[in-house]
Parts: sequence; structure tokens; C-alpha cells
Amino acid sequence: MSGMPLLDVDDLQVTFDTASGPVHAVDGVSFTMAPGESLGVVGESGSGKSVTARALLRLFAITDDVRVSGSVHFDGVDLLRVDERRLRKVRGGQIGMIFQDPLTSLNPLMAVGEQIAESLRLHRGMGRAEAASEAVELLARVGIADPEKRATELPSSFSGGMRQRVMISLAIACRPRLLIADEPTTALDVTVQAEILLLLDELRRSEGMALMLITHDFGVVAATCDDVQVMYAGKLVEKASMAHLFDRANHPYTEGLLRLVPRFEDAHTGRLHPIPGQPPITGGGGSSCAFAPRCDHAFDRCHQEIPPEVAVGPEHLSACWLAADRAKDSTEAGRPWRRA
Amino acid sequence: MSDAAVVGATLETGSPEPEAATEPRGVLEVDDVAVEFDTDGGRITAVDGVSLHLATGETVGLVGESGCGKSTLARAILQLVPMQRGSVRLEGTDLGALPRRELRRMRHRIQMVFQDPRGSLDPRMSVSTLIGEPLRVHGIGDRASRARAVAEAMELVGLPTAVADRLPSELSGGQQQRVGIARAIVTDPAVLVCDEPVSALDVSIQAQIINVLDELRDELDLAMLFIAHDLSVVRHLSDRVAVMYLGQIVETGTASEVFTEPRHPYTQGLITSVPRADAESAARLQTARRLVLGELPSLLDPPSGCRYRTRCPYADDECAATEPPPEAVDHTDGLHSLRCHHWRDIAAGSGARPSSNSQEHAP
Amino acid sequence: MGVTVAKRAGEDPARTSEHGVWGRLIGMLGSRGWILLVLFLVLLVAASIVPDVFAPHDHESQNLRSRLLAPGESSSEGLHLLGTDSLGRDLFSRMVVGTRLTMFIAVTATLIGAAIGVLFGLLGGYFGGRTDRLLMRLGEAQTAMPMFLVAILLLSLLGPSVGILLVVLPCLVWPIFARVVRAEALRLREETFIEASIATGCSTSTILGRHLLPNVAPRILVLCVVEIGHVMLSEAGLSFLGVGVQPPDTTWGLLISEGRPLLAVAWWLTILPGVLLGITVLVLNLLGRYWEARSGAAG
Repeated sequence: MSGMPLLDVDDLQVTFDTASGPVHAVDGVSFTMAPGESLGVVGESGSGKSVTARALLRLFAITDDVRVSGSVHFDGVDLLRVDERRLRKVRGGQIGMIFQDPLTSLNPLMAVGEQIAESLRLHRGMGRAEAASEAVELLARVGIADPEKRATELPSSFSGGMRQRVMISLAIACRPRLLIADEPTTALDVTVQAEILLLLDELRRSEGMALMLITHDFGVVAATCDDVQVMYAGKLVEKASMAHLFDRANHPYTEGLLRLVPRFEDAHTGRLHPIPGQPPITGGGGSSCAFAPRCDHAFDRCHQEIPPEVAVGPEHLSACWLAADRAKDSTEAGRPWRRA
Repeated sequence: MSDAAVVGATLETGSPEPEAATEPRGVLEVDDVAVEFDTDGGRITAVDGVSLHLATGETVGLVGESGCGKSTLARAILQLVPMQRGSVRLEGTDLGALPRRELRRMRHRIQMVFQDPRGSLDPRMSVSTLIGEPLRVHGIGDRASRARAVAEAMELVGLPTAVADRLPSELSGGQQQRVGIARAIVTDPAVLVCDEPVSALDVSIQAQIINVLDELRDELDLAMLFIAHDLSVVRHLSDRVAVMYLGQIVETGTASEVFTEPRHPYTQGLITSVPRADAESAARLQTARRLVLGELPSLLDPPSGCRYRTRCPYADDECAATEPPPEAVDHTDGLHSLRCHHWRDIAAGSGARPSSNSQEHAP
Repeated sequence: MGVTVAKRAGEDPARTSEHGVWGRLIGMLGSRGWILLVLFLVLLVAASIVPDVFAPHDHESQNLRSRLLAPGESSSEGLHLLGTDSLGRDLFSRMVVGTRLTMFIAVTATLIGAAIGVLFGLLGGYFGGRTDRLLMRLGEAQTAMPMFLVAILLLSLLGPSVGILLVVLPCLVWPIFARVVRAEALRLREETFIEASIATGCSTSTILGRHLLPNVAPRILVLCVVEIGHVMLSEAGLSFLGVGVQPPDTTWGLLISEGRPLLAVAWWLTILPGVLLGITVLVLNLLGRYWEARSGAAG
């Protein structure tokens, strides 16, 4: 059926029961992704961005005492309700994942080509020889020079950037329809980061897969994603196309995030404008806007009721009581941080 | 505006004017420092002949990617790792030549802020004990004046008095780093070395800490060496910058010049690689990819001649044969210099063609 | 409708972090059981400080008419809760009085051993290299020797005395302290805060005393509690063999030894001090391990 979203997340809730009480890591998140779409998820640590991604595939440590509710429809199937066996087929099959630290997700005692081939045999039912040659192909595909030789090497002999390439080749080995990248370049140097981001973008276009990129860096999203959603304390606070957001960030938190990074083009222009205070560690679950305590614009209502997501433009949602007013303002006057 | 303030501070302390033909000699003079290490694979030269001079009131940013030797250089400056050659002079005293006991006495004049805010604080000491420790260790003041100094330092870095009796584990990451900074400035040092002081923090907290450092620099007569891989942070805080690659400084100059008119191909690539939140982001990364090729060579087997030549699109035989010496960019204030044989040609756009590179297509 | 995912044993981490018999024993203690253990230790300490308060009879008064009374029997002097020995002395009173020397020797010897072990461990762990190798070889060499036999030999050669015991017993425990402290010091040495202290200008003694030692102190305390029990056992063993504490001084170990020839006719003289010793060692072990598990879970 055309027009059906590839991924449809509805009212996702993830709660961890910890010794110091429940933590609402994800608090009622809903969004959809179309096939081939690229979506950036931006937030600080504790915003619930990584937990959201893990919840899609129910990737939790067995020690976690976690409750998940809502629904995650992937290709029409609710991943939260399928059995573990079918879920395993989806993981690494139709949905690929890469993480910040590739070392922890690669088997240190197995040649990288072997690891890719194993996945190919498992998910694509290839024979030994076919899988081995396809693995070399994949390594070449992600820009690893001399792939035949490197396929026989252990992960430890690869540099950080090359290791992330190996991870990517593993993630795309089964031609996933969705690739989830969780801070894939945070541990890498900028020049290496640039290459990995370009690689992800190229692969997305050539393989026609959807990309969900989780990061704290708007610059990374700008380079790779068409759409962006901003999370704070387990909730989506703003969603828009990236191009739109440059000009019309609506939510005060988004505005704060965009403004607090020193602009590279600017010389030293006085103090930065940090967001005061710090993010809540207990996630959402309150009965007011979670950002209100740090917000310059907060008024009585913000401390009493949770603001709903409202449309402030085409494909542009913002969860703020002032969203409509702020949308009006931004069309009249440019944002203060966007000087010519 | 604060550019002016910084210049003012420089002039007040009687440092040479920026027009001077040489780098200002100052409170910290690092000359030709080299540091070698034994690793599993053999001996490497992590820092290879680095010279840097800092004047009072001045902030120098040191940028480079992992493995370039910037953190090792910081540790060599503080005499935390042994130097193979070169000298580090703090207010005229050669630190490397001092006996251990004398060196320890000098340490209150040069202090360091570490990357890992939590790990750099003794988990069993309270905030006030931690901040007061440098004073106690150096026998500065009596009990009452130390308590006053601690309170003052806490106020300077924006720590509420209520946290004085807490343990580091009871503080947020941002507060922990404020403690680290308070500890470093409480002895009123002449030089503050900051090694990636914000990279372990959340973005919204980073800005808070950067502002703290920014204010300190204005309020205290500090020379600051600011080490970071985040170029926009360095750009924001620094008067001058030095770019390191494989143990050497490949380009140095005023921050505004190096960042707006980088001459060295590596600096150009580094700056272009920074993803920025704007519409040209992807296109810029394509350009960056053509300026930085391949992978970082191993320090076990550094390239002959120019260190950068194996990744440089403009490299030719000359680059492999001879190491380019530091060369001043003429027509500037004399602070801008770099190590590259071909920078003039590159700047004029007539540099050797970027060697063709299979994975690339122009945007 | 909610979907519940993987709910795993969310019990008290103190219970799950320990395995085997000790883990189960600690588990049985529950959250308040350890108060009983502490209470028991408090009683022992009180008995060593003011034995007269606890002892119902004069521990030295002999009464040949009330020899070898079984527990619960009475003489003209009153009830003998735990019976009497072959000279008619009240066993309970003798055990109370013996507590002082038993505790004194065990605690002192452990503290001496701990002091040596901590010093060697800190120096070896912090400086590494040659210092470390030398100190650790010393510990290993000593561990490899049958120290208990050496102790017996020494004590029989030099003549048994409490003073010699306080030399011999610490030798049994210091390598244990040295090993634990060294491992901790090695780990802490790599922490940034040690580098930060050097950069601040701290002297080596400041770093060892103010930064390393406080950070290993909790481990040392736990180890002390456990080792006091072990030293107590060793002392009892030596006294039992006749090379430890000599009469008229009394320790639990000596009581056991004295009762041994009469085991067939007066079992209580051997068994009851033995049970007390066993319980004490168990309590110390449990407490030590309980605290270790708790502090491990906390941070």
C-alpha cells in the first residue's frame, strides 16, 4: 500500500524503574518515517533520544527494569508485540543499527569479514563462499582500501574511523530499509566525521534506505538529514524540516541549542548565551512543561500544564504554549543569532 | 568589543605590541619541546619540536585531532611527562632544569584544568577541601585567608556556597568542572592550561563553562593555553591559535586570520570539516573530503619531509624530500606562520592540482 | 495496553553481588540482621573492657567440691550457666575474662599486619617498577612458606609469649593487606585526580597519605574486620598446640586446649569455647562481607 509510512511510532513510553524511583526516559513520543526519509533526532544526554531508538528494537540490557508501552509499527508490524524470534530477524535485517562506540558492537576475536559474512548467511541465506565475497564487496563499498586483505583482520587493527566504516558495512549488509545511527561520529575526529557523514548520506541515497540519525549536534543533522526533531526530557518539543528550522526555530529550547554553540564564522563576540540550569535527570512524567524551569519565556501556564504539539507551519510542530506567537514573530523579524 | 578588552589587557601588562616582528615573548615560553614515548610497537615522537609563547592576558588555542600530541604537549609543559629536548620557561624559570622540590614550589604559578571533570577530583574530598588544597599544599596564607580565597574562587566560577561541603559525586558535570577550574585558579597562577575542558560536558553546559573561562581571563591576569578539538570553541576563546598535526605545529597565527584565511591545506581541511548548522553543510563536507585524504599515518612510521604530505592533495616530490620549515606569511602582523612548501601557490590558486581521488565528485 | 519487557532480579544488590555460601548467608541477614551482628561485637568489646560486669563468678576461685559441673548445674556459689572445669572454676566467667586477651591479640596483631601491608601495598602500587617487584616478591615468598609451621618453630625456639605472638601473627596477614592495597593503588594511580594532584604541586607523601590512603581506607577497614577473625583462629591454633598464650593468662584458644584431655567426661570445656570462637569468626566475616557488598553497590 503506497503512502503507508515505513515506521510509525505512536505514544511510545519507556520507563525505567530505578532504586531512586521511576525514570520516564521516553514520555509519549509519536512520529512517522517514510521510506528513504532522513530524520535527525537532536537532544542532550538524558533527553531520551537514544532510548527511543533502542525501544524501537527492544534493545535493553537484561539488567534494566524497564516498561515500554505504545506501539512501533514497522512495515505494518508492531515491533513491540512480535515475539523475540521475529524481532531478531528485523534487528540487523530490515533495521540496521550503528552506535557511538563501534568496538563494543564488534566481536574482538573474529575477523571483520567473517562477522559480515555471518550476518549475510543468517539474514540473507547466502552460502559460505558467496557471503565471503559479498563481505569484501561491502567493505569496499564503505570506502575501505584493500578490502580483501582487511576482511581477514581483527577489529582491533582498524582505526576509529575505519572501525565505524566496518560497523556501517555490517549494518547495511542485509540491505536494511531503515538505518538507525546513534551518535555515530561523536567519538571521531572532525575530518573523519566528515567522511562518515558523507558516507551515510551516499548510502542512504544509493540503497534507498531511511536514516534515523541521533546526535547532539545540529551541524551533523544539517549535513545529513532533511528533517529534524528535537527532544527534551523524554518528549518531542519540535519537529521541522532542517532547512525550515534554521530560519524558524520555534521552541525556546531549540532556539537555545542553536544559539549556544559558538558560531564558527564569528569572531569573539562577547559571552555565549548558555541555557541556565541543567537537564532533568528523571526524564519526563511531570504535569508541566519540562523545560519551563530553564526557559526565559516561561509564564504561569508553563508551570501548570504540559503544552501540546501544535502546527506552526508546514510540517512544523512545536510543543510550546507560545508556539503560535513565536511563529508569528519569527516571520516578521529574523532570529537574533542569525546575523548577516 | 571584548577583542578590544583583550588587547587592552595585553597592553596594560606591557607585552610587546602585536606589530612586533616576532611572537611576543612572555610569561610562558615553550621552545623546541620534544616528547618521546615507548609503545608496544616501538618508540614514537609524540611532540616534535614545538615552540609556543604566551603573554599575560593572552589565550592561545591549540587545536588538532586525536594523536596530534596536543595533550602530551600540555603535560610536557606542566612537567608531568619527561621531555626529550627543549625548554619550558615559566616567568623566566626553566622548569625542566629545576630539582623536583623546586619544581613543586613553582607549580602554583601554572595550573591545569582537566578533560574529565569527575575523574580529576578526589572522590573523598569535599568541594571546599578540594579547592583549598593547592593553597594548603603550597602553604599560602593562614586558615582564615585560605577560607576566604576558597569562597572567592567559588564565586568567580559560579559555584553556590551551598555546595562547599558536598562530594564531587553529588555535583553535576558542569559543577564538577567549575570545581576543577576553581582549584586551578585559587593560587592565582600566571598560566592556566586547559586540556579539553568542555568536551566531556553536555552542549548546554559547555557554553556555561566557556563563559566562566572567558570571564576569568578578563578578570585575572591569566595567560591561557586552551586545548580542544572543537574548533568553534577555540575560535570563540582564543586570541591566537596553533594547529598541530603529528606532533608538530603546522600553522599558527591570530585566531581571526587562521580561521578566516587558513593557508595550510590541513588547516583548511580541518576548518571545512566542522559541520555547521546551515544549508551549505553537506557541500562543505564534500570540499573537506578533498583537502584531507586517506588516513592518519602511524607515529611509528611518520612520513618523510612534510608530515602532512600523505594526506595532502597538493603534495609533490619536494614535499617528500624536504621538511618545510616554519615560514612567516608576509604582509601580515608577523604572527601568522606555517609549514608548507606550496602555500603561496595554493593561495594563488595555482597550486599543483589536487591529486585525483577515486571516491570523489565535485558538488 | 502496556508491554512489559524483561524484568530481572531486582533484588538488593548486596545480595546479588556476592555468590555462593557467603552470598546466601548475607542474604539471610536481610536488611536488619547486621544490627544483631554489631550488637554481638559490642558485647564482646564490653566484656573485654569490663569483664566483672559480665562474669557471674570470680574466674580464679577454685572449688574442688564443684569440679566438672555440667552446664546449668549449681554449686554453693550459685548457678554455673556453662558448667565448671576440673578445678571447679566457672567456665562462663573464664570465657568472659578470656575475651580480653583474645580480642587484644587478634586486634593488635591485625592492626600491625595491616599497617605493614598497607605501607608496602601503597608504595609498591604507586611507584611500581623495582620497588613494587621487591615488595611483592617478599610477600609471595612469605606466602609460599608454611607460615603456620614457621610460627610454631619460632615460638617453640624463643619460648611462647604474647609479645612474640604479636610479632608472628602480623606476618600471617600483612601479605593479604599488601595485595589488596597494591591492586587499589595501581588502579587509582591511573585516575586523573592523582595526576591533578601532582600538577597542583602535592608532594608524594601528600598524594599517598591524603589521596590514595583515604580512597583505599574502606577496603582496608572491611579487610581488617575479616582478618581479625582469621588471626583469632590462628592464635587459638597456636595456643591449642601449646606454643601460644600460657596460663595463667587465658584466651578462648587456651580454654579449648585445656579442656581437650577431658573431652570424654566434660565436653563443654572444649565445645563451648570452640562454639564462641566459631561464632565470633563467622560474625566478623559476615559483617566484613556485608559492608563490602554494600559499599560496592553504593559506588
